[in-house]
Amino acid sequence: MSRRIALWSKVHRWSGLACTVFLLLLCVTGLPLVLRADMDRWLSGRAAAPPGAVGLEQIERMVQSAQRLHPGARVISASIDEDAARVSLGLVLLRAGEQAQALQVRFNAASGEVLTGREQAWSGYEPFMELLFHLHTDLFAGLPGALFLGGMALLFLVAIVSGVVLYGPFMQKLAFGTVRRERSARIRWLDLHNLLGIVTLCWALMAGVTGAINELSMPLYRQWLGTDVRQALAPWQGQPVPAPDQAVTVPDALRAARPLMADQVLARIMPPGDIGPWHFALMVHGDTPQTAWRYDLILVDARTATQVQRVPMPWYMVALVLSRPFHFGSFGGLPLKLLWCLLDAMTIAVLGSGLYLWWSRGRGTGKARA
Amino acid sequence: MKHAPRRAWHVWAMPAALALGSAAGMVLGLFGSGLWRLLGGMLMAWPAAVGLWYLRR
Repeated sequence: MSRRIALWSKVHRWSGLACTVFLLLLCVTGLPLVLRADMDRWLSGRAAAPPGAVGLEQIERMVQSAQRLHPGARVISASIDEDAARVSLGLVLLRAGEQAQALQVRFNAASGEVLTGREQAWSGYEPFMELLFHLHTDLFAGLPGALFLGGMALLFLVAIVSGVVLYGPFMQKLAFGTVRRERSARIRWLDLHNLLGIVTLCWALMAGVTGAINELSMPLYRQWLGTDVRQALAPWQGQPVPAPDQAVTVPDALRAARPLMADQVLARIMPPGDIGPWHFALMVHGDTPQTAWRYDLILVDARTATQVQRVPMPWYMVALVLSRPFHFGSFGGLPLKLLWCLLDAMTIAVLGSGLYLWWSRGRGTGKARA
Repeated sequence: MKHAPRRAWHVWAMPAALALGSAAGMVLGLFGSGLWRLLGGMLMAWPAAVGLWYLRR
């Protein structure tokens, strides 16, 4: 073995070993998370919503339904989950002399009806998925946990690149896809490691890169708020902050933003205080496959709904927005998600075989050492 | 099964085709519509199909 190969072999072994346990955790928790929205729909018996099913008129009707359900409450936020066919409205109930009470009403995105009983989803499902989500994204340790897992994703990328460098010399005398079943278990697992590693190469690179970007979501979001958004809000600095009962309604904010939303659909409405204390903030995106990844923020002045302003996303936020559908395979319906699950299972086999090869080192031939 | 040392392109042709096909499939799948999206899906599924085929051989 040449010195160059020996060096790459060391890089592959130790970078792989350092991240394998965490990568196994990420792959195992990632499997159900890929199907999270679909399982939510199956368990609650909701049909999928056609693309663009939730327009401004539907949101206005939902706001009216929510206010009929909770008289006196104000709708202050909305979140549209197209994948799960669900719209969540956030309300606040203000009573004189009492603390404001936060409420939530969920709607079926396809029918526009309020979700009740079984339609809300099986009661144990959401806490379980939240547990998996935190294990997958931050190990319940907030930003430090997210950055740690981002570091593991980078180590995974080092292991992939070094694995590709080693693939050539190891496969020089073997045909593509050879699995020497007649040889020892170690050789067989080495061949499987090489075969599954090389066929999942592109997917694993994509999952590693988008995973690392996703782990940076909090610092990237803060950077955007501290630069472009802060600049957009600069003219309002020093102005009085509207009290909750002085703010315009969500339908007013939607109507004010509508002229800026040509060829765009609503993803989320955030109440005053989330982005800046003076505005409703609407997250909108394109309505075609070519533009669906282009998100913009529309700020609507919460006191009068007369001043509306668009804040385009900078390149790093576009990278973040693009990395989510790639990472969770949510851009091609259920068949793509099932493919993501299959590739995820193959990556688990690559990681497991890598661990086995390290554990059984010295038991096979020198040639077979990984 | 075992061959004499092969030229580099013999070793790399299939892995490169799988990786490039998969990458092209991801781009077509995300940005394409209609038949382009379907083609993207097939290109993304191709490496997994190749892997399973060699595993069962």
